Amino acid sequence: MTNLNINAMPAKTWHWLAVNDAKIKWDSNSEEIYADELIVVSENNKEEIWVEDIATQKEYNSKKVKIEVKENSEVTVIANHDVDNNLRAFLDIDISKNAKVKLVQLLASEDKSLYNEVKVSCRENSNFELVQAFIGKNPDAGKEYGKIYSNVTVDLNEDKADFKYDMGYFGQGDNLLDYNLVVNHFGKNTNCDIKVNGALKDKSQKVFRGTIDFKKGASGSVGAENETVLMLGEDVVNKTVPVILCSEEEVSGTHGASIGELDEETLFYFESRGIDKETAENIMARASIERLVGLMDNIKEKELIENTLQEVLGDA
Amino acid sequence: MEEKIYVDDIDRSIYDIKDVEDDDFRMEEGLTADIIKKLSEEKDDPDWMKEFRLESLKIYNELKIPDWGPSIEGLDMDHIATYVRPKSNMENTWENVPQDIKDTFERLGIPQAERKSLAGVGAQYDSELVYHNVKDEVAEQGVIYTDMESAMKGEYADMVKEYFMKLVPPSDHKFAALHGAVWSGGSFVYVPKNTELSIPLQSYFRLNAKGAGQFEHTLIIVDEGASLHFIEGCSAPKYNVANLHAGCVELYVKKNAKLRYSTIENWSKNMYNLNTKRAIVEEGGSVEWVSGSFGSHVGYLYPMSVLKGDNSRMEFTGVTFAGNGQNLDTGAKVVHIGKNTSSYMNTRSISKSGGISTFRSSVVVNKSATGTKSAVSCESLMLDSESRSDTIPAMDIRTKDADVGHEAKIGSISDDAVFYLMSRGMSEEDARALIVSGFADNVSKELPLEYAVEMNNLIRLEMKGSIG
Repeated sequence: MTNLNINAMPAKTWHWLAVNDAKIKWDSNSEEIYADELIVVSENNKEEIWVEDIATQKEYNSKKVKIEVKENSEVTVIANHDVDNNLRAFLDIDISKNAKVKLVQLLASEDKSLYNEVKVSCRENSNFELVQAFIGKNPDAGKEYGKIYSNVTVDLNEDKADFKYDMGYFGQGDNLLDYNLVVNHFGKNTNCDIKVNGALKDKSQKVFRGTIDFKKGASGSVGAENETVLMLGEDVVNKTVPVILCSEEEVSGTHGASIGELDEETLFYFESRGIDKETAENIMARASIERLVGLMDNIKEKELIENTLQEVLGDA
Repeated sequence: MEEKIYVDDIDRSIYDIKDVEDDDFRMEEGLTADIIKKLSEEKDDPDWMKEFRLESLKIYNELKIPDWGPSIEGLDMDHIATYVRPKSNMENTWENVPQDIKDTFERLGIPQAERKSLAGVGAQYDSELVYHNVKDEVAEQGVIYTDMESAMKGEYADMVKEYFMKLVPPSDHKFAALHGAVWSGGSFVYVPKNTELSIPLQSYFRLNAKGAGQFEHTLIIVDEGASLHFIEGCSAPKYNVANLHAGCVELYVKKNAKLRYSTIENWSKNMYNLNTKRAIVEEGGSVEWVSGSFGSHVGYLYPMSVLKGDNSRMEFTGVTFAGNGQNLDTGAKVVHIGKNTSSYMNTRSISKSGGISTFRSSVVVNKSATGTKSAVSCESLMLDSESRSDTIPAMDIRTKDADVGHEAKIGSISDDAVFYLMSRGMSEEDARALIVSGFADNVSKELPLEYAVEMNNLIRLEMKGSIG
């Protein structure tokens, strides 16, 4: 068993905060590595691609998928990583000029480790939308809670490339949710809009590193990052590191974070309608992920998220 | 895109005037146990301090150079003289201070400020204080304001031993260890219970010696119910070799006490400023940091507040201006331990002519710190695309009963604002300087008038010659 260093921030901070990177325990020797898959979407096409989970009995698995989306095409990619075994999933997407890609990912685990790595390269006037739901599930009695890691790098390489990110998460028990997002603005007039919402219960821990990096020459670019964290457990740990790196004058970058429990006004609203605090908290936790459902285009995608939520939070 | 013209910055006038070096003693360059022993002998340290220095040196040799901040490759400790004693004893009247040193402080406006608006002044020249004085009425209140060496050997020796480098232990980081090994000079302040100082105390640190380091230690204890405003200033002339400042500030704010600690840092642009400042705040106490960072080649500066007592609070207001050849990594840290504590950081960073400015912060809320409220607001202004501005904040929250907010912005000067001011008869240069001064208003409005004026002058000086 080895420790893999993952989720490294492009700019480090104090080591004592323990956020510069993460380590994942991995048995590389017994890892089943699946053949790389290449999917090419030709020009002027519209497609939906499902990247299915690997059905395997192996304890450690890894799989790489590369998708090339040619000019003027429009693609929705749905990746279901509700894992039963430890998985490293690599997804590499190349988006050509004027193409649009929407990636919907479900990252869920009961008692296993999941490492999801996504690299996206965006050409001129292309559009990339990423919707991610991270859901920590209840493991069987006696088993450890799952750990979900995700590392997303988006390179806005050419002018007017656009990236929109919506992420929702729910952690419970001893879940560990550890994310790293890096958006590199290379092209002029590029845009990114990052929204992260989530809830933590029990003793769950979450780290969110979000970096917007305006490279020299990315004039006219705009980047915005916002995170809202709902703290619902007495022993939860939340770490947030929203970074902006900037070597270009004519850009606009903002980030904001709001961390805390349900405010009294919201609680009062629920209570005035006969809903107790615990139910109210579950409703708000569910809402932080359910809002993603509204961003999805078809029933199958919606069901993927809603069924998992139902499994974890019931009717709340 | 709009074309930009850059003209070199003008001279930093008064700050850059060098005195001819005429030292009483200059330690050989480098950092060895023998040098530390010699330093200890020169300073006639008590035994515990001699051991403390040697232990700190051991820790220094064991610790690594930070890998997360600006490069300090240009700093070679083998070429730094850690102790330079000027030809002057510590005086309490300016008349007795040697003429050249006195002239330097006159140019910096220290005696004038003392007469007009300060309760006491300490002036350090290289490694030792050359002047220390406190007004009679302040001394009559029982306020102790003296140099660290006198405090360590005199009637406050036990107090110094109890508090010295307990808040910033040498093991904290490599340059805290360096400080523990070679510290010299600095001030000791004790404000008795329920004593309020209506006007500030000030220490000014001037490093004149080429290739030397300054390692002053400031230890302030504000006892229960007392209040103090302490001002710290620093400057040095520019040399073509590296100079080093690795001072240490330890602030103890007792129950219901208040301390405001203001700094205008204007080191020369060959200086490595690796300073450590920390406050611990007891129940109901408050610490306010006001910080203007303008000088230094490389700076690492993050005043830290430990909110230990219930209902304690901190506020940090800072501005950093990084110009040509500067890499300033500044910010603040807070740790919430007590219940119902609050913190607020409000900072501005400005980068120009290839300067690099990084805002770095941490907000840590322990599980015990229920009822915490914390807000961080940082804004950065890029004045050209040769420069760089980074924002690296971190939050570590371990209780659900907390309300933590963070917001940051990076951008450039609005062309509309410049156009508006120019349409009212201002030159473009003045318009930009005015906008930058306004941007740094969060700090200047928190400073006493004389210092706010100095800060605005520094901004104007830095902005001079940039037309865009």
